[in-house]
Amino acid sequence: MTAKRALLIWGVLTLLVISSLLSIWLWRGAAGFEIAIQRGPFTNLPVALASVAATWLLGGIFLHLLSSKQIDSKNALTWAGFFLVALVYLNLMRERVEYGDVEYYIAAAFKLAVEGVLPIDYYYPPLWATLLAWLAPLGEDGAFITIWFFNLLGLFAFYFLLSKTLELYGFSANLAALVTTVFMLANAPILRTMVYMQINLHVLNMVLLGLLLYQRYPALSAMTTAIAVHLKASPAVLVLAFLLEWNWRWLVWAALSFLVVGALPIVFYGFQPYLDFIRNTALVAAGHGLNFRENSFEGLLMAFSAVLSLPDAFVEIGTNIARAVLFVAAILVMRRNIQRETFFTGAEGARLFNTMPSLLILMTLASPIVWVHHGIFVGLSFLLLLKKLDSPASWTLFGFAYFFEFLLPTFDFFPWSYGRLVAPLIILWLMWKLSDKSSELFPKANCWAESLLMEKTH
Amino acid sequence: MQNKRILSITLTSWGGITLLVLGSLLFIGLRWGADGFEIFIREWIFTHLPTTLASVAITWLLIGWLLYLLYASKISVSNIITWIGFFLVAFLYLNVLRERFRYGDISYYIKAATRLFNNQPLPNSYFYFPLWATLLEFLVPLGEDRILLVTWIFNVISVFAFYFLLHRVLERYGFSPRLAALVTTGFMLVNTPILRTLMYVQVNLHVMNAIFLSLLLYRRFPFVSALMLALAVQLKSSPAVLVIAFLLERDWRWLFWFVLGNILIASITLIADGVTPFLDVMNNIFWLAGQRTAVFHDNSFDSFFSFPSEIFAVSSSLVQSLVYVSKVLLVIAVLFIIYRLVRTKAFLSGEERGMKLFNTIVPLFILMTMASPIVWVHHGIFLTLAFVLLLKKINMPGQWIWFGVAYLLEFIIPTFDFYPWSYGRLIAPLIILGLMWNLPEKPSELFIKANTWAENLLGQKIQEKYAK
Repeated sequence: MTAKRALLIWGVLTLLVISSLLSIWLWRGAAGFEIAIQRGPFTNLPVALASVAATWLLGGIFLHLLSSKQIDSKNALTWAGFFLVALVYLNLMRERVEYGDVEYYIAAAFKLAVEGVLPIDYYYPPLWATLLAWLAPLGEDGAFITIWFFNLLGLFAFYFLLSKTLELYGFSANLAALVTTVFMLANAPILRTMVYMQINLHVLNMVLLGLLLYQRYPALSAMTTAIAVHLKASPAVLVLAFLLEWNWRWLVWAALSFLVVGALPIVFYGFQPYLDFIRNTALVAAGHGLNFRENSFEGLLMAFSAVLSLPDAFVEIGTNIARAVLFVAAILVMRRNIQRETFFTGAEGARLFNTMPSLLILMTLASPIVWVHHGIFVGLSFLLLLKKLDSPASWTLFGFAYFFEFLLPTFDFFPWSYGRLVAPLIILWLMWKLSDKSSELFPKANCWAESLLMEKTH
Repeated sequence: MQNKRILSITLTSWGGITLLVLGSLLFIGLRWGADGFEIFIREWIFTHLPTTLASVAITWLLIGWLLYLLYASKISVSNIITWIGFFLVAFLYLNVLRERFRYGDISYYIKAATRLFNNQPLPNSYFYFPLWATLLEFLVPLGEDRILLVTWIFNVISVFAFYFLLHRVLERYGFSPRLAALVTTGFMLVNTPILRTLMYVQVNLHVMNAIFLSLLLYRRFPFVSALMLALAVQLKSSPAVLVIAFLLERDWRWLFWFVLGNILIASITLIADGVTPFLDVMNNIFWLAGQRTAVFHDNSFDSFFSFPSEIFAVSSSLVQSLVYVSKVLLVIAVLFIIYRLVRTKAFLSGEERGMKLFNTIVPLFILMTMASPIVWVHHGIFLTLAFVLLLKKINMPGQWIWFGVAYLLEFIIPTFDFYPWSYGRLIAPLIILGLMWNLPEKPSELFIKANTWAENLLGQKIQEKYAK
C-alpha cells in the first residue's frame, strides 16, 4: 500500500515537472528555459538532463516493481545488481562532457544521408550509418543524444542478457546476478564503450540474444546474429559455431536475415555504401596509425618495428603468422571443448555453446584493430572459465588476465600497455588446459548464492 | 602449502614486472633523456597523461597489495567482504578518474596557494581557513600540473581511507563488520557527492576522514581526536559546528587539546604567511554571506530563496529574512533533536564515555552542511552518517519510502540546474531530520536481522551479539 502511494506521488511529481516545462514554454518560449535551466561547469546540458530523467524513471520503475510485488527473494539480487550498475553509469555519464568516436558515426550517417557515400574512416558495414542517417533531421546534437540514450538502454539490456546467458551456462540466478554486477561495475572496456559511445554493446547484445534464443526461437536467433554481423563485421567469425551445429533451419534463417537486414542500406542508398565499406576495410587491413593502446598483433608488431626500425615486411609477416597461430589454436581449443563439453552439457546446441567462448577470442584478436573497448567481446570467455578454475595456479593466471583486460585503466606506454593482447591468450590457454577439469568451488558458489536470501539451500 | 608457493611465485613475478617497468623508465631516461618518454609514452585525446599514468600505477600497486594480502594470509573468511568491497570501490574510481581529463575547483586552490607564495592576499574566491592554501603553497614551485597530480593522488588515497574509516565508524555504531562492509560498499559505489568531490579535487574527503578519526580515537587517544577535529575545522571551517557534540560531553581535557590543536595547526600559516591570510578569509566569508546569487545546483537556503527575487519583484530584505528564518528554524530543530537524542541514546546506547557525542553528532552533520551559505553537491559527503545510521532505526514501510526518497535526492540523482526541481539536496537532509524526530531507543528488527544475516553470509554462525 505504501509503495503504491509512493508510486502515485512519483507520478504526480513527474507530471508537475512536465507541466512546469510546459508552463515555462508558454510563459517565455524557448528563452524561458534559459532562465529556469542553467548549465553548470563541466556540463553537457542535454546529457545532464537525460541522465537525471533516466535516473528519475528508474526510481519510478523501482517503485512500480515494489508496488506490484515483482521483487521477491528469488530475484532481489538481480534487481539490486541492475539498479546498482545502472545508477553508477548514469552518474558517470552525467559527468562526462565530451564523447569520442560517436562523431565518426554521426559524420558517416550525415554524409550517407546527403551524398549517399561513406567516409574513409568508417570501418563498419553500412547498417549502423543507415539507421543513424534517419536522425539527420534532428541535427548533430539531436543525433548525439539519441545515440547516447540508446547506448544507455544497451547497457541496461546487457546486464540482463549477460546474466541470463550465464544462467544458460549453468550459473544459478543469484550467482549470475552477482558475477554480472561485479563484472560490470569495475570494467574498463564497458566504461570506454560508454564514454566513446561505441556500438559494442548493441553488437554484443545481439550476439547474446542469438545464443539465448537459439533453442526456442531459431529464426529470431538467426536474425539477431545477422544484425550483429551487419553492425560490426567481426561477429561473422561466430557463425562458425552455428555451422558446427549443422542446424540447416537456423542457417537458412540466418542467410535470409542477413540478406533482409543487408538490403536496408541498399534500398536507401544502393550498393555504394557496401563498396565504400569494402574499400575502407581493405585500407585499414593494409595498415593504420600507431597507438600503444591498440592491442592487435599488428599494433604490437608495428610498435616494435617503429621502435627498433624493423622493415615493414616484419609487421606483415609477423601479423599473418600470429593470426594463423591464433586461428589454429582457437580451432584446437574449440575441438577439445566440444569433445569434452567443457562449458555446456546438453542435447541441443552443445557444440554452439562450447565453441562460442574460444570464437569470441578469435573474433576479437583476429581484427586488424583492437581497442580497449573491444574487451567486452571477450567478457563471456572470461566469465565462463569461473566454472573451471580448480587450482591456485589457474586462479592466479585467470586473475592476471582479468586484471589486464578489465581492471587496468587504459594507457599508452610501449611495451607495457599491451596487456590486453596477452590476456585473451592466457584465457585461451586456460580453456585448453582446464577443458576436462571441474571446479569444486563452482557448485558450492552456486549453492551458496542460491541460499543467500532463502531459509533453505536448494 | 601449494597455495603459499603459487602466491609466492606470483608476488615475485609482480615484483619482477614492477622492477622491469621501473628499469625501462630508467633506461629511457638515461638513453634518450626526457625526449625518450615522448617516444614510448603518449598522450591521446581525452587523456590527462599525469593522472592516467598515476591511475595505472595505483591500480598496479593495488593488485600487488592484494597479492601480498593473499600471500600473508591476511584475507580470511572474517574480512573477505571488507576487502572485496574495498577493491571494487578502488578499481571503479581509478578507472573513472582515468577517464576524467579536466578537473574543476582545484584551480581556485592553486590560485590561492600561488597568491600566498607570492606574498599576496588570498583571492576573494577562497572561503576556507588558510591551511589548505598554505600546504599547497609549498608545491607552487612544482607548477600547476604537479599540484593537480599531488592533490589528485591525495584524494585517491583519501577515498581509500574513507572506505575503511566509514566501515569502522559503522562498526562503532553497532553494525556487524560484514554489514558495515556491504553498506559502505553500496554507499560508495553510487554516490554523486563522492564522485563530484573526486572530479573537482575537493577537500571534503580529507575533512570527513579527519572527522571520522576524531570520533574513532575519542576514547583512547583524546589528544589525537582533538587534533583531528581541529584539522577538519582548519581545512573547512564548517566542521566547527560539530564541536557542540564534544562540548556536551563536558570533557574539558579534550576541549583544551582541541584549542591547542587549532593553535598548532593555525601556526603553520602564521609562520609561513603571517596573520593576513586569516583576515582575508574573514573578509571573504563576510562577503560570501552577503551574496545572494541563485546557482541552481547550490542547495543552500540562500540560493533557493534568491531566484524568485531575481525574476519577480521580491525585495532582497524579504529574501534575507526568509534565509535567516529558515536557518534559525533549522538550528532549533537540530537542538531539539539533540536534546531527545541525549536522553534516548537512539544511535548508540551504553554508559561509557562519549555516548552524548556519538548520538548528538549525527544531526549536527545536517546543521553543519545546511547552515552554510553555499551547499554544493559534493558537500553531501558530510551527511554520510546522518543518512547511513538511520538504517539502524527505520522500520515502517512509510519510513523506508521517505528515507529512499531522501537518499535518491542526496546521493543518487545526478547534478542538474533546473529551478526548483534541482533543490532536492536541500529537501533531503530535512527529510532525514524529520525521520530523526522520534527515533525508537532500540534498533529496528530488520537491522538486527540484517546484522545476523550478514555475519552468517559466508556460513559462519555468530552469537546474537548484535541483537543488543
